Amino acid sequence: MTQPILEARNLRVRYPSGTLTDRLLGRGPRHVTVLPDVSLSVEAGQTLGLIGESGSGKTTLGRAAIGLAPISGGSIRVGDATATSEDAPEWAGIRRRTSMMFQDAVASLDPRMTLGTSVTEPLAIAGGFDGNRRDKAAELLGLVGLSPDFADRYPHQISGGQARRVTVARALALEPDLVIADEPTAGLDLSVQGELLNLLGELQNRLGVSFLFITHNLSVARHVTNRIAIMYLGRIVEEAPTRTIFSAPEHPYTRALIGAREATGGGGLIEGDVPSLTRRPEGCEFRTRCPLATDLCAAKAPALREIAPGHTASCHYAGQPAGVSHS
Amino acid sequence: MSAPVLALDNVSIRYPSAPAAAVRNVSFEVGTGETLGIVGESGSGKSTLAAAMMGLLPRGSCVTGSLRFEGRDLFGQMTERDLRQLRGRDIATIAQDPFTALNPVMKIGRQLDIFQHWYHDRPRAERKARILEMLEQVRLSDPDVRMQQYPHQLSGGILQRVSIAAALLAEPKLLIADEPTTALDATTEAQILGIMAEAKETLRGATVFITHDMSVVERLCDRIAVLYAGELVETGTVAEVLGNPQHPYTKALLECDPARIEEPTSELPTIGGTVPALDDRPAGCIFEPRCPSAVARCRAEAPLRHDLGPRRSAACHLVTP
Ligand SMILES: Nc1ncnc2c1ncn2[C@@H]1O[C@H](COP(=O)(O)OP(=O)(O)OP(=O)(O)O)[C@@H](O)[C@H]1O
Ligand SMILES: Nc1ncnc2c1ncn2[C@@H]1O[C@H](COP(=O)(O)OP(=O)(O)OP(=O)(O)O)[C@@H](O)[C@H]1O
Ligand code: SF4
Ligand code: SF4
Ligand SMILES: [Mg+2]
Ligand SMILES: [Mg+2]
Repeated sequence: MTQPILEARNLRVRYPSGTLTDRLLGRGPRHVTVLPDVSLSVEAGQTLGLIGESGSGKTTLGRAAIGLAPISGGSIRVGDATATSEDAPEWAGIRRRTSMMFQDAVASLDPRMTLGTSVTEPLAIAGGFDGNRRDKAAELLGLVGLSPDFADRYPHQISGGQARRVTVARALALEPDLVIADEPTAGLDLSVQGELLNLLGELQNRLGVSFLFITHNLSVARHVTNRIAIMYLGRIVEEAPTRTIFSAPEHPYTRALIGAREATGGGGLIEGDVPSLTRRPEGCEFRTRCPLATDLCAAKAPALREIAPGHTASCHYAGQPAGVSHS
Repeated sequence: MSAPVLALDNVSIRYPSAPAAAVRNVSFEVGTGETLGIVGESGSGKSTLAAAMMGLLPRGSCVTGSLRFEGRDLFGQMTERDLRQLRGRDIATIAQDPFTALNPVMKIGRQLDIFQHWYHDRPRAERKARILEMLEQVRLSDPDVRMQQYPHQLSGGILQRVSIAAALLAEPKLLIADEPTTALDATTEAQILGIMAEAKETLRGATVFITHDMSVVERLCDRIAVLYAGELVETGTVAEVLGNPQHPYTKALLECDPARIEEPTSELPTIGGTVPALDDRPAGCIFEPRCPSAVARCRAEAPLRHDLGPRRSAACHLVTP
């Protein structure tokens, strides 16, 4: 197999915590580590789904992959370029072949620019485009089901789902090799969502585009991803082919996620306190909410290990026949 | 039904400088204790209706028909000051975009305090405790840290839960929630929907819930209104509309739900074609260019709303009572 197009290796990201005054006065911890140590790769021409609890660090990982988060350890490699800090010179090259669909679609559009200017902006920045910008804008907007008259409108004059589609069109302007798609279908109706996903699939078939696909929508992930990585408190706790994640999840958190979608009314809920990024539980970080937790889980953190070919999980009891884990 | 909390009668809304109305002739009612789900095409006017219910349409928008909250016409009889008071006290909203809903330069804790206006004369410590409790209820980690943070330091789902907390702290008579769970993972969403269902029991009023997620409609709503291109095409109870959809748009929409497709597929179903541009509306039925069941009459004549039972209707020529 060829090497993955995107590879995060032992990536560590932390933000300054609290206010500036708090930091100056030495109150509380100075940093909050969002991603303690993430390794993850996206194979060329494939789609890796990244799913996890709200606030677990998915957007942070996606942003770090194009150099938009404070990297304090480890590395990001895209193609042949490897970067190890936020201000590495490699980012310019990486960003030329990578597009980002930001989760905050509306905020990511410049309020003073018409949508036509916004969607063709990447072409202008990259240079070398000598076609008609208006025609190109109409073409890009058409890809996402918006009529050409949207080119003259401003971001505050469109609906939430229309803004989402504009950002998708903009991300596709340069025909990137790699797309970091952060909740690309949030806020779309089911038909437009289907159209957009089919469009992304078509691009993948035609141009071999690879996707890191961040989503909360499990039904969408089930259809469009090849593999899925599950994130909890900034760590990947399970990764496997999509079918396996749905048919034979091994980590108790993954099971709860899948269960929550299938159950109507109360099932699949995770009990227990929401853990804190600043006061991470010792041992297994999921143990404060895990229905299977034992003394071992409090004493020792489980390593992410391969439990079947292409299937990793970080739970002491993953890969054991049902029942054994309750001992 | 007792007197409705919210009643829309033939409401049309046109944005300033727009070539045509974004919402046309929409009528529905929401009673005390009821939750109405609004679903429909992206750009069909759902958020526009929400903005109208809050009296927050951009200046220069043109509204016809009547929109009544507890019997008072929001556009006829109320001054800007009355409206502001209403927004502060009786009507609360969870905005569609969590990233721009909050004030970017004010700490979360202070923003939340402003929402609990019923408690303004209570001691500071008590108000703070109430906020902390609410943040815990919406499953936020590190609630005390969150109170000291600014919106840009929070993730999408955390912001969304802060907005939900704000709306619940306000204890409104009418809660308008515009896609409040799109940024939440499945387990957190299930918990939040549980909290909202509970709040429904204790709230004194009505809820309008805008969403694209049919499973959310099933879990939380009593009634549903389906919008297409600014028009109300079908309405009824959730069981009636999802179980036995009558309008061709509703049927087509439900068939696109990836959750209803068993085998994984890379070719998802869609409704062919696109919504007609605002200034290029067909003369007959608005859905005609995309409708698989269209007949000759549909192109010439716009269908009226046909009543199919008490508070159940669909606007299509092929629908007969
Ligand atoms: N600029 C920042 N400063 C401080 N903390 C931040 C900043 N950006 C993000 N965080 C924190 O990092 C954590 C992870 O945020 P991130 O946006 O990556 O989560 P996420 O998994 O994308 O969540 P969601 O599903 O809700 O979008 C959160 O606790 C968030 O508050
Ligand atoms: N300020 C504005 N000026 C002109 N047109 C507008 C304005 N705001 C929205 N529109 C248009 O009005 C229509 C209805 O928009 P609205 O935001 O109500 O849609 P929506 O149903 O909420 O869609 P979504 O599901 O995508 O959020 C859209 O076609 C939109 O482009
Ligand atoms: S290691 Fe223990 S606490 Fe952690 S997920 Fe496995 S069983 Fe649960
Ligand atoms: S009136 Fe005609 S075109 Fe319109 S929805 Fe009914 S069948 Fe389709
Ligand atoms: Mg995010
Ligand atoms: Mg909207």
